Amino acid sequence: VSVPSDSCPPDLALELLLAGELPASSPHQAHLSSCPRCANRLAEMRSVGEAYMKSDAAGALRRELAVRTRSDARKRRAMIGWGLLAPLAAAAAWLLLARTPPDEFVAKGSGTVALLVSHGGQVAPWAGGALASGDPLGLSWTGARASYVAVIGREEGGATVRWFPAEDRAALLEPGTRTFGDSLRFDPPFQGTVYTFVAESPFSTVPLEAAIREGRDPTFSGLASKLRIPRTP
Amino acid sequence: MPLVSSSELFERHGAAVYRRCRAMLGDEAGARDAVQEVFLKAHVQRATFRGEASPFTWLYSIATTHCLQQLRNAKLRQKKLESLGQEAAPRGMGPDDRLRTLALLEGFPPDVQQIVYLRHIDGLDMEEVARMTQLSTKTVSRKLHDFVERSRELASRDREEVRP
Repeated sequence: VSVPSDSCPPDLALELLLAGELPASSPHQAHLSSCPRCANRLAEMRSVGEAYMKSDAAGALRRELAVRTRSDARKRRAMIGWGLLAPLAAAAAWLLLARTPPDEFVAKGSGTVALLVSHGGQVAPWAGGALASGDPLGLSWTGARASYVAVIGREEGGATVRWFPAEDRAALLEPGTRTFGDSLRFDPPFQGTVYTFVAESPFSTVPLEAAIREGRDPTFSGLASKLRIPRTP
Repeated sequence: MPLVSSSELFERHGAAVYRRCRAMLGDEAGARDAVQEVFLKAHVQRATFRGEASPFTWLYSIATTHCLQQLRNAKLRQKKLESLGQEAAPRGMGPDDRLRTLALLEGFPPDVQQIVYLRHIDGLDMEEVARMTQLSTKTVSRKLHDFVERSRELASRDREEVRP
Protein backbone atom coordinates (compact mmCIF):
# COMPACT_ATOMS: atom_id res chain seq x y z
CA VAL A 1 0.00 0.00 0.00
CA SER A 2 3.02 2.34 0.17
CA VAL A 3 3.33 2.83 -3.58
CA PRO A 4 0.81 5.34 -4.86
CA SER A 5 -1.31 4.50 -7.83
CA ASP A 6 -1.92 6.97 -10.64
CA SER A 7 -5.24 7.86 -9.10
CA CYS A 8 -3.75 8.63 -5.67
CA PRO A 9 -3.76 12.38 -4.99
CA PRO A 10 -0.43 14.04 -4.19
CA ASP A 11 0.37 14.95 -0.57
CA LEU A 12 -0.50 18.55 -1.23
CA ALA A 13 -3.98 17.54 -2.36
CA LEU A 14 -4.31 15.58 0.90
CA GLU A 15 -3.26 18.76 2.72
CA LEU A 16 -6.00 20.66 0.94
CA LEU A 17 -8.45 17.98 1.99
CA LEU A 18 -7.27 18.20 5.61
CA ALA A 19 -7.63 21.97 5.54
CA GLY A 20 -11.09 21.75 4.02
CA GLU A 21 -9.89 23.65 0.95
CA LEU A 22 -11.23 21.15 -1.56
CA PRO A 23 -14.93 20.94 -2.38
CA ALA A 24 -16.86 17.91 -1.12
CA SER A 25 -17.36 16.94 -4.75
CA SER A 26 -13.62 16.60 -5.29
CA PRO A 27 -12.71 13.15 -6.66
CA HIS A 28 -10.00 12.98 -3.97
CA GLN A 29 -12.70 12.70 -1.30
CA ALA A 30 -14.12 9.60 -2.90
CA HIS A 31 -10.67 8.19 -3.49
CA LEU A 32 -9.74 8.50 0.16
CA SER A 33 -12.55 6.28 1.37
CA SER A 34 -11.47 3.48 -0.96
CA CYS A 35 -7.67 3.75 -0.79
CA PRO A 36 -5.98 2.37 2.34
CA ARG A 37 -2.65 3.85 1.21
CA CYS A 38 -4.02 7.38 1.13
CA ALA A 39 -5.97 6.87 4.37
CA ASN A 40 -2.72 5.79 6.05
CA ARG A 41 -0.84 8.68 4.47
CA LEU A 42 -3.45 11.10 5.79
CA ALA A 43 -3.16 9.62 9.30
CA GLU A 44 0.62 9.88 9.08
CA MET A 45 0.42 13.53 8.02
CA ARG A 46 -1.91 14.29 10.93
CA SER A 47 0.47 12.60 13.33
CA VAL A 48 3.50 14.56 12.02
CA GLY A 49 1.60 17.81 12.40
CA GLU A 50 0.37 16.99 15.90
CA ALA A 51 3.89 16.07 17.02
CA TYR A 52 5.17 19.41 15.76
CA MET A 53 2.40 21.37 17.48
CA LYS A 54 3.41 19.70 20.79
CA SER A 55 7.12 20.38 20.23
CA ASP A 56 9.27 22.94 22.04
CA ALA A 57 9.76 24.79 18.75
CA ALA A 58 6.01 25.27 18.38
CA GLY A 59 5.76 26.37 22.03
CA ALA A 60 8.49 28.96 21.51
CA LEU A 61 6.81 30.27 18.36
CA ARG A 62 3.43 30.37 20.14
CA ARG A 63 4.96 32.55 22.88
CA GLU A 64 6.72 34.79 20.36
CA LEU A 65 3.51 35.38 18.41
CA ALA A 66 1.63 36.14 21.63
CA VAL A 67 4.27 38.69 22.63
CA ARG A 68 4.15 40.33 19.20
CA THR A 69 0.36 40.38 19.19
CA ARG A 70 0.29 42.07 22.61
CA SER A 71 2.96 44.56 21.53
CA ASP A 72 1.00 45.41 18.37
CA ALA A 73 -2.17 45.86 20.42
CA ARG A 74 -0.35 48.31 22.70
CA LYS A 75 0.97 50.23 19.68
CA ARG A 76 -2.51 50.25 18.15
CA ARG A 77 -4.01 51.60 21.37
CA ALA A 78 -1.33 54.27 21.51
CA MET A 79 -1.98 55.18 17.86
CA ILE A 80 -5.71 55.38 18.54
CA GLY A 81 -4.96 57.53 21.57
CA TRP A 82 -2.80 59.86 19.52
CA GLY A 83 -5.32 59.74 16.74
CA LEU A 84 -7.95 61.00 19.14
CA LEU A 85 -5.64 63.45 20.89
CA ALA A 86 -4.30 65.02 17.70
CA PRO A 87 -7.65 66.51 16.62
CA LEU A 88 -8.30 67.60 20.20
CA ALA A 89 -4.91 69.28 20.36
CA ALA A 90 -5.51 70.88 16.97
CA ALA A 91 -8.93 72.07 18.12
CA ALA A 92 -7.43 73.48 21.33
CA ALA A 93 -4.70 75.25 19.37
CA TRP A 94 -7.30 76.64 16.98
CA LEU A 95 -9.39 77.87 19.87
CA LEU A 96 -6.38 79.52 21.46
CA LEU A 97 -4.78 80.94 18.36
CA ALA A 98 -7.62 81.51 15.95
CA ARG A 99 -10.86 81.80 17.84
CA THR A 100 -9.56 83.89 20.71
CA PRO A 101 -8.08 87.08 19.38
CA PRO A 102 -4.89 88.15 21.08
CA ASP A 103 -6.63 91.18 22.53
CA GLU A 104 -9.00 89.01 24.54
CA PHE A 105 -8.23 86.37 27.07
CA VAL A 106 -10.26 83.69 28.71
CA ALA A 107 -10.38 84.13 32.42
CA LYS A 108 -10.62 81.33 34.96
CA GLY A 109 -14.23 80.28 34.86
CA SER A 110 -16.10 80.84 31.66
CA GLY A 111 -15.70 84.48 30.73
CA THR A 112 -13.61 86.60 28.41
CA VAL A 113 -12.06 89.85 29.38
CA ALA A 114 -10.83 92.29 26.73
CA LEU A 115 -8.79 95.42 27.08
CA LEU A 116 -9.87 98.20 24.74
CA VAL A 117 -8.30 101.43 23.70
CA SER A 118 -10.14 104.50 22.53
CA HIS A 119 -8.24 106.68 20.10
CA GLY A 120 -9.74 109.51 18.06
CA GLY A 121 -13.21 108.35 18.94
CA GLN A 122 -12.56 104.82 17.67
CA VAL A 123 -12.59 101.96 20.13
CA ALA A 124 -10.36 99.02 19.29
CA PRO A 125 -9.15 95.98 21.17
CA TRP A 126 -5.78 96.44 22.73
CA ALA A 127 -3.35 93.55 22.97
CA GLY A 128 -0.37 95.46 24.24
CA GLY A 129 1.78 97.76 22.18
CA ALA A 130 2.14 101.51 21.82
CA LEU A 131 -0.52 103.86 23.09
CA ALA A 132 -0.91 107.56 22.46
CA SER A 133 -0.88 109.98 25.32
CA GLY A 134 -4.30 110.50 26.86
CA ASP A 135 -5.85 107.44 25.23
CA PRO A 136 -8.35 105.96 27.61
CA LEU A 137 -8.20 102.21 28.15
CA GLY A 138 -11.36 100.25 28.59
CA LEU A 139 -12.47 96.89 29.77
CA SER A 140 -15.16 94.62 28.53
CA TRP A 141 -16.36 91.57 30.41
CA THR A 142 -18.38 88.93 28.59
CA GLY A 143 -18.49 86.26 31.26
CA ALA A 144 -21.62 84.26 31.97
CA ARG A 145 -21.79 85.69 35.45
CA ALA A 146 -20.59 88.81 37.26
CA SER A 147 -16.88 88.69 38.12
CA TYR A 148 -14.34 90.74 40.02
CA VAL A 149 -11.78 92.48 37.80
CA ALA A 150 -8.64 94.50 38.52
CA VAL A 151 -5.96 95.95 36.21
CA ILE A 152 -2.54 96.89 37.59
CA GLY A 153 0.34 98.44 35.68
CA ARG A 154 4.05 98.22 36.53
CA GLU A 155 6.47 100.79 35.21
CA GLU A 156 9.97 99.81 34.13
CA GLY A 157 11.31 101.42 37.28
CA GLY A 158 9.14 99.17 39.48
CA ALA A 159 6.40 101.58 40.50
CA THR A 160 2.90 100.18 40.25
CA VAL A 161 -0.23 101.96 39.09
CA ARG A 162 -3.65 100.58 39.89
CA TRP A 163 -5.44 101.27 36.63
CA PHE A 164 -8.71 99.64 37.53
CA PRO A 165 -10.56 100.09 39.80
CA ALA A 166 -9.63 103.17 41.77
CA GLU A 167 -10.05 101.25 45.04
CA ASP A 168 -7.66 98.58 46.29
CA ARG A 169 -10.30 95.86 45.88
CA ALA A 170 -11.36 94.31 42.56
CA ALA A 171 -14.55 95.72 41.11
CA LEU A 172 -17.54 93.54 40.35
CA LEU A 173 -18.42 93.71 36.67
CA GLU A 174 -21.72 92.40 35.34
CA PRO A 175 -21.63 90.35 32.12
CA GLY A 176 -21.54 92.62 29.09
CA THR A 177 -19.97 95.48 31.02
CA ARG A 178 -17.83 97.83 29.01
CA THR A 179 -16.13 100.52 31.03
CA PHE A 180 -13.77 103.37 30.32
CA GLY A 181 -12.69 105.04 33.50
CA ASP A 182 -10.38 107.96 34.03
CA SER A 183 -8.07 105.72 35.99
CA LEU A 184 -7.49 103.71 32.86
CA ARG A 185 -6.32 106.65 30.85
CA PHE A 186 -2.84 106.16 29.42
CA ASP A 187 -0.49 108.67 30.93
CA PRO A 188 3.04 108.81 29.40
CA PRO A 189 5.84 108.40 30.00
CA PHE A 190 4.49 105.05 31.27
CA GLN A 191 6.46 102.15 29.90
CA GLY A 192 5.95 98.73 31.36
CA THR A 193 3.54 95.88 31.84
CA VAL A 194 -0.19 95.70 32.43
CA TYR A 195 -1.62 92.84 34.50
CA THR A 196 -5.31 91.96 34.42
CA PHE A 197 -6.95 89.85 37.11
CA VAL A 198 -10.39 88.24 37.04
CA ALA A 199 -12.00 86.11 39.73
CA GLU A 200 -15.44 85.00 40.76
CA SER A 201 -14.76 85.99 44.40
CA PRO A 202 -13.76 89.42 45.72
CA PHE A 203 -10.02 89.97 46.12
CA SER A 204 -7.69 92.64 47.33
CA THR A 205 -5.20 94.19 44.93
CA VAL A 206 -2.71 95.04 47.73
CA PRO A 207 -0.72 91.78 47.78
CA LEU A 208 -0.83 91.68 44.00
CA GLU A 209 0.62 95.18 43.73
CA ALA A 210 3.32 94.24 46.25
CA ALA A 211 4.38 91.22 44.24
CA ILE A 212 4.37 93.17 41.00
CA ARG A 213 6.40 95.97 42.57
CA GLU A 214 9.02 93.37 43.55
CA GLY A 215 9.22 92.20 39.96
CA ARG A 216 7.44 88.90 40.59
CA ASP A 217 4.42 87.64 38.74
CA PRO A 218 1.66 87.18 41.31
CA THR A 219 0.85 83.54 41.98
CA PHE A 220 -2.83 84.46 42.18
CA SER A 221 -4.88 82.09 40.05
CA GLY A 222 -6.96 84.98 38.74
CA LEU A 223 -4.08 86.38 36.65
CA ALA A 224 -5.69 86.54 33.22
CA SER A 225 -3.22 88.48 31.13
CA LYS A 226 0.11 90.26 31.12
CA LEU A 227 0.52 92.85 28.34
CA ARG A 228 3.43 95.09 27.58
CA ILE A 229 3.41 98.79 26.72
CA PRO A 230 6.65 99.79 24.98
CA ARG A 231 8.33 103.15 25.27
CA THR A 232 6.18 105.87 23.78
CA PRO A 233 8.12 107.89 21.17
CA MET B 1 -8.74 41.47 7.11
CA PRO B 2 -7.08 39.97 9.25
CA LEU B 3 -10.03 38.40 10.99
CA VAL B 4 -7.89 36.23 13.22
CA SER B 5 -4.74 36.85 15.19
CA SER B 6 -1.38 35.38 14.28
CA SER B 7 -1.65 33.10 17.29
CA GLU B 8 -4.97 31.74 16.08
CA LEU B 9 -3.60 31.28 12.57
CA PHE B 10 -0.75 29.29 14.03
CA GLU B 11 -3.08 27.04 16.04
CA ARG B 12 -5.20 26.39 12.95
CA HIS B 13 -2.54 26.01 10.29
CA GLY B 14 0.79 25.53 12.10
CA ALA B 15 0.76 21.77 11.52
CA ALA B 16 0.06 22.12 7.79
CA VAL B 17 2.75 24.77 7.37
CA TYR B 18 5.21 22.55 9.21
CA ARG B 19 4.40 19.62 6.94
CA ARG B 20 4.82 21.87 3.92
CA CYS B 21 8.23 23.10 5.03
CA ARG B 22 9.33 19.61 6.01
CA ALA B 23 8.26 18.23 2.66
CA MET B 24 9.93 21.00 0.69
CA LEU B 25 13.17 21.17 2.64
CA GLY B 26 13.41 17.48 3.53
CA ASP B 27 14.86 18.48 6.88
CA GLU B 28 13.10 18.59 10.27
CA ALA B 29 15.29 21.19 11.95
CA GLY B 30 15.20 23.37 8.85
CA ALA B 31 11.42 22.96 8.71
CA ARG B 32 11.00 24.11 12.32
CA ASP B 33 13.07 27.23 11.60
CA ALA B 34 11.13 27.79 8.39
CA VAL B 35 7.76 27.61 10.19
CA GLN B 36 8.96 30.27 12.58
CA GLU B 37 10.05 32.48 9.67
CA VAL B 38 6.77 31.91 7.84
CA PHE B 39 4.58 32.89 10.80
CA LEU B 40 6.70 35.88 11.71
CA LYS B 41 6.50 37.01 8.08
CA ALA B 42 2.76 36.41 8.10
CA HIS B 43 2.46 38.41 11.32
CA VAL B 44 4.21 41.36 9.67
CA GLN B 45 2.33 41.02 6.37
CA ARG B 46 -1.12 40.28 7.79
CA ALA B 47 -2.24 43.89 7.38
CA THR B 48 -1.85 43.44 3.63
CA PHE B 49 -3.86 40.20 3.60
CA ARG B 50 -7.09 41.19 1.87
CA GLY B 51 -8.87 37.90 2.24
CA GLU B 52 -9.12 37.07 -1.49
CA ALA B 53 -7.42 33.78 -0.67
CA SER B 54 -8.16 31.65 2.38
CA PRO B 55 -5.72 32.06 5.29
CA PHE B 56 -4.51 28.53 4.58
CA THR B 57 -3.69 29.31 0.94
CA TRP B 58 -2.06 32.57 1.94
CA LEU B 59 0.16 30.90 4.55
CA TYR B 60 0.97 28.09 2.15
CA SER B 61 2.08 30.60 -0.43
CA ILE B 62 4.36 32.33 2.09
CA ALA B 63 5.74 28.95 3.15
CA THR B 64 6.35 27.81 -0.44
CA THR B 65 8.11 31.04 -1.39
CA HIS B 66 10.20 30.95 1.77
CA CYS B 67 11.25 27.33 1.22
CA LEU B 68 12.10 27.98 -2.42
CA GLN B 69 14.40 30.74 -1.20
CA GLN B 70 15.90 28.34 1.33
CA LEU B 71 16.50 25.80 -1.42
CA ARG B 72 19.03 28.19 -2.94
CA ASN B 73 21.23 27.02 -0.11
CA ALA B 74 23.48 24.38 -1.69
CA LYS B 75 23.30 21.90 1.21
CA LEU B 76 19.53 22.07 1.50
CA ARG B 77 19.19 21.85 -2.24
CA GLN B 78 21.34 18.71 -2.37
CA LYS B 79 19.31 17.16 0.42
CA LYS B 80 16.10 17.97 -1.45
CA LEU B 81 17.45 16.59 -4.70
CA GLU B 82 18.37 13.35 -2.94
CA SER B 83 14.98 13.05 -1.31
CA LEU B 84 13.21 13.82 -4.59
CA GLY B 85 15.07 10.98 -6.23
CA GLN B 86 13.75 8.61 -3.58
CA GLU B 87 10.23 9.94 -3.35
CA ALA B 88 7.45 8.10 -5.03
CA ALA B 89 5.55 10.61 -7.13
CA PRO B 90 1.85 9.92 -7.29
CA ARG B 91 1.37 11.44 -10.70
CA GLY B 92 2.92 13.77 -13.23
CA MET B 93 6.67 13.85 -13.73
CA GLY B 94 8.99 11.04 -12.78
CA PRO B 95 11.84 11.57 -10.29
CA ASP B 96 14.43 12.50 -12.95
CA ASP B 97 12.21 15.14 -14.52
CA ARG B 98 11.39 16.56 -11.10
CA LEU B 99 15.09 16.80 -10.28
CA ARG B 100 15.72 18.62 -13.55
CA THR B 101 12.76 20.93 -12.97
CA LEU B 102 13.94 21.85 -9.50
CA ALA B 103 17.40 22.59 -10.82
CA LEU B 104 15.92 24.90 -13.47
CA LEU B 105 13.74 26.90 -11.09
CA GLU B 106 16.40 29.29 -9.90
CA GLY B 107 16.46 32.43 -11.95
CA PHE B 108 12.71 32.50 -12.53
CA PRO B 109 10.43 34.97 -10.75
CA PRO B 110 8.95 33.75 -7.42
CA ASP B 111 5.42 33.44 -8.81
CA VAL B 112 6.62 31.24 -11.68
CA GLN B 113 8.74 29.17 -9.30
CA GLN B 114 5.71 28.60 -7.11
CA ILE B 115 3.46 27.59 -10.00
CA VAL B 116 6.06 25.23 -11.43
CA TYR B 117 6.71 23.71 -8.03
CA LEU B 118 3.02 23.16 -7.32
CA ARG B 119 2.43 21.63 -10.73
CA HIS B 120 5.54 19.57 -11.36
CA ILE B 121 7.03 18.83 -7.93
CA ASP B 122 3.88 18.69 -5.82
CA GLY B 123 1.94 17.15 -8.68
CA LEU B 124 -1.22 19.26 -8.42
CA ASP B 125 -3.48 19.51 -11.42
CA MET B 126 -4.03 22.84 -13.19
CA GLU B 127 -7.20 23.69 -11.30
CA GLU B 128 -5.61 22.95 -7.95
CA VAL B 129 -2.60 25.13 -8.85
CA ALA B 130 -4.97 27.90 -9.90
CA ARG B 131 -6.83 27.62 -6.59
CA MET B 132 -3.60 27.70 -4.58
CA THR B 133 -2.20 30.70 -6.44
CA GLN B 134 -5.48 32.59 -6.86
CA LEU B 135 -4.84 32.78 -10.60
CA SER B 136 -6.95 31.61 -13.51
CA THR B 137 -6.09 28.26 -15.07
CA LYS B 138 -5.36 30.18 -18.28
CA THR B 139 -2.72 32.30 -16.52
CA VAL B 140 -1.26 29.25 -14.81
CA SER B 141 -1.08 27.46 -18.15
CA ARG B 142 0.59 30.44 -19.83
CA LYS B 143 3.20 30.80 -17.08
CA LEU B 144 3.98 27.08 -17.21
CA HIS B 145 4.32 27.29 -20.98
CA ASP B 146 6.66 30.30 -20.67
CA PHE B 147 8.72 28.37 -18.13
CA VAL B 148 9.11 25.40 -20.46
CA GLU B 149 10.03 27.62 -23.42
CA ARG B 150 12.57 29.61 -21.44
CA SER B 151 14.06 26.44 -19.98
CA ARG B 152 14.48 25.02 -23.48
CA GLU B 153 16.24 28.19 -24.59
CA LEU B 154 18.58 28.04 -21.62
CA ALA B 155 19.28 24.37 -22.19
CA SER B 156 20.08 24.90 -25.87
CA ARG B 157 22.39 27.82 -25.00
CA ASP B 158 24.18 25.64 -22.46
CA ARG B 159 24.65 22.90 -25.07
CA GLU B 160 26.16 25.40 -27.52
CA GLU B 161 28.53 26.73 -24.88
CA VAL B 162 29.95 23.27 -24.04
CA ARG B 163 30.27 22.27 -27.73
CA PRO B 164 33.98 22.24 -28.66
